Amino acid sequence: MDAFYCSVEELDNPSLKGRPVVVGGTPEGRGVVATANYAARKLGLHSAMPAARAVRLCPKAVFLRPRPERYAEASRQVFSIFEKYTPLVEPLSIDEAFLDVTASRLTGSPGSFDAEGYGAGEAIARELQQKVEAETGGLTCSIGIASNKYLAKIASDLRKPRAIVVVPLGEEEKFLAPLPIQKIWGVGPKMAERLEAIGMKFIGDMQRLGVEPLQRALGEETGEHFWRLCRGVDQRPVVTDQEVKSISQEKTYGEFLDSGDRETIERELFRMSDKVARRLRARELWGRTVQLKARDERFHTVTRSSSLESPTCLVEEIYQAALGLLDDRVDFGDRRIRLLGVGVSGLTSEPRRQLDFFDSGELEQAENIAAISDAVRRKIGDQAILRAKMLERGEEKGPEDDEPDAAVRPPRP
Amino acid sequence: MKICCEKNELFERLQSIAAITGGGPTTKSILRNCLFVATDKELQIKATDLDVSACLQIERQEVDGKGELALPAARLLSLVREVPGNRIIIEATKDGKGATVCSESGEYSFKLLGESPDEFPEVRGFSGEGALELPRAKFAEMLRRVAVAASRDSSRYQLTGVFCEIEGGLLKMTATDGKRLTTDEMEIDNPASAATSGIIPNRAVDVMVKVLSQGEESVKFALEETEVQMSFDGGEMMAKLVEGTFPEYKSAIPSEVKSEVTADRGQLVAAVRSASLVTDKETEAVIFRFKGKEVAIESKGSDIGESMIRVDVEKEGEDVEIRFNPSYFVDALRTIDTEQVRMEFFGSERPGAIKGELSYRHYLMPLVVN
Repeated sequence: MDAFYCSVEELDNPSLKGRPVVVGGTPEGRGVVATANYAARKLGLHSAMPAARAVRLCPKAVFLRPRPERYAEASRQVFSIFEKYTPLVEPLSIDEAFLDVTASRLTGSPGSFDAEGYGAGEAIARELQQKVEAETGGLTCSIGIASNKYLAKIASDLRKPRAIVVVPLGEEEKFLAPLPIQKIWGVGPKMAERLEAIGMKFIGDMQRLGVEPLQRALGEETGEHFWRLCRGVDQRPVVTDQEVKSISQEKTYGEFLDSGDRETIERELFRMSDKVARRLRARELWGRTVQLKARDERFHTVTRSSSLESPTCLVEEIYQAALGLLDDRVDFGDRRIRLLGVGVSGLTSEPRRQLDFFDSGELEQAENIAAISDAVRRKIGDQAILRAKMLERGEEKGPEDDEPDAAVRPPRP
Repeated sequence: MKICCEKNELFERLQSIAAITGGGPTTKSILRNCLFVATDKELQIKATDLDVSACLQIERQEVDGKGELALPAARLLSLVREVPGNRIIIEATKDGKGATVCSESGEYSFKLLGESPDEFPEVRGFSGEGALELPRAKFAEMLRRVAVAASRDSSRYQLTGVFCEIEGGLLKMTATDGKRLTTDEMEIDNPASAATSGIIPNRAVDVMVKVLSQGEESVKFALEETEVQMSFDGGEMMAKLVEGTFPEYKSAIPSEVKSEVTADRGQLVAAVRSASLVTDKETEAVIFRFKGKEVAIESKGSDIGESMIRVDVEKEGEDVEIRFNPSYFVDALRTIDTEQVRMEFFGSERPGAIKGELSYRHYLMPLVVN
């Protein structure tokens, strides 16, 4: 949706139209801008900007208190329109969603008989855009049409507001080539610096460079990852809310964590990984994809994920993967951390394990030990067996389980 | 100094050394450069990352003036690719720290900033005593096929290369990432006296495969205590060996064959690729049931569906049921170039072997259900 919160406000109060409007923050300069409408953006205002600065830049701006319930209502209305076009709607946020329209066709609208297959995307987008505007009474959206989620997202952001951008099938690389590297998903300031150091400015530069130099510059996995992204390769399916099968744990810190405080960060990740692992084992599930979620003090949120060789239900593997993601693919600079989360998806109850020539059954042993410690903790209590890693210095007791999980802890007999 | 050379040849040389000049995030900038060295007789291009070094001749060239020139290799490679025409002209700037790179017709002209050639580390010449003489193309091919299984995971660094052993008139190569293991060997005409072994790092292998793949001549190969040296028509190479001990792999290779299977390689590749379309990302396993005169290849994706493909085979010995990761299986079949592929199985929780024409073996560890 285009400047969603502001658009909703303008809808409810037409006299705001054309004036610079800011949701979040106060005219006295307290707080942070959540959204600015396009009139305000022209004057240099943008989300996450301190309100004090916004006031200086644009004293005439109208500052509104956010009305989350009203936005949620408008969001539900818009999402219900999406669902008329496909059941495969994956919400990304309150005002963004991925729609898989591969199997959708336009019906009942004269003049669009040829709109089938890939070409239908654009026709559907046009109708959808009109319908959203008409049915909500004036909310506009921008739509990107592409062969995968990553490209669709880039395309949708490219020419806001009220835009439709198509990435033709087979022209994914061509579409990306002229865009700056910062458009690539996960390229923040630090990653951009590393890429610029090897002469990369536009995505096309990376396409020409090839995978091997990228891997040498960024590391094996990250290089491969960005090699896929620079060519527009993304194979994640659109998953609806109901289908999401994952187990996760997150925690918001009232006292922000210092990005340099390794001990605390590692302990927190380990504690969360432990909870996730126990919940997996309690449900007799194994998962292969580990996600890390982190939010900095400026509300900038990132989620990163990586796949393991074989599905796991062990804390060490989940923790190592989560820590690896934090180290390699999250760059908060010296900003403090206000939220951390660890999750596992790609769940299966029939894991296949890849055997190793030089593995002497350590993993099987580790799973047995975990099962025993789970049993002890169920019987005697969570504090019965703890990893030293989960304890704070000088602490003798571990964290209280703040979210008791029925499946993990059945009532004691 | 002014160099005029053939674009394709320069492009090939730059591509060969790209694995050396790519560098990591902490690499000193001079090491991202290649060094052109022009003497009365010849023109060389050198690259080093202090662990792997190469010095290659540029054959078809005209050089005006002697000297050295250090230019950023990756950038030069992409410029050379863009410049039209068959020949390319590189002329050092007056301060010697850069060059103009242009097409012969002059339509395309780039000014490329380089570095002072004095900063470029010394690249030692070949000094391998008691080097083996090996057939170049055969050696490169053996290296390429074995290297497929080498680990790319830096946490298992002792597996991140090709393990070479010289013993009793044979040169043996082995590579493994734990899940697959490749071996091959060739006879040596002029065996060195002492048995030696060492792990050649992946990066060096990449360069070796590229520079050695063409040419009928022989290559001089010296496997020393801490490094490997090579000399061949058109250049020289040197690489530090991977420090660490290669695992005791021989005991991991099974010996009691339970069944031997022959199948059409193309049919099998196609079948496994098709089956892999219907696997879960979480499991990525394909079941092979070898029974009688056929193999049934089955896969299942919990949210997708199932597949069942039959391929005719010739089998001797027991029926087998075994699960493999389909991409590893296809990779293994692709390293073979015969029409028929021969396989050996040793049990459903033991590795399977895909056999090349001669001594090449590609072992694959199966997947098991918990």
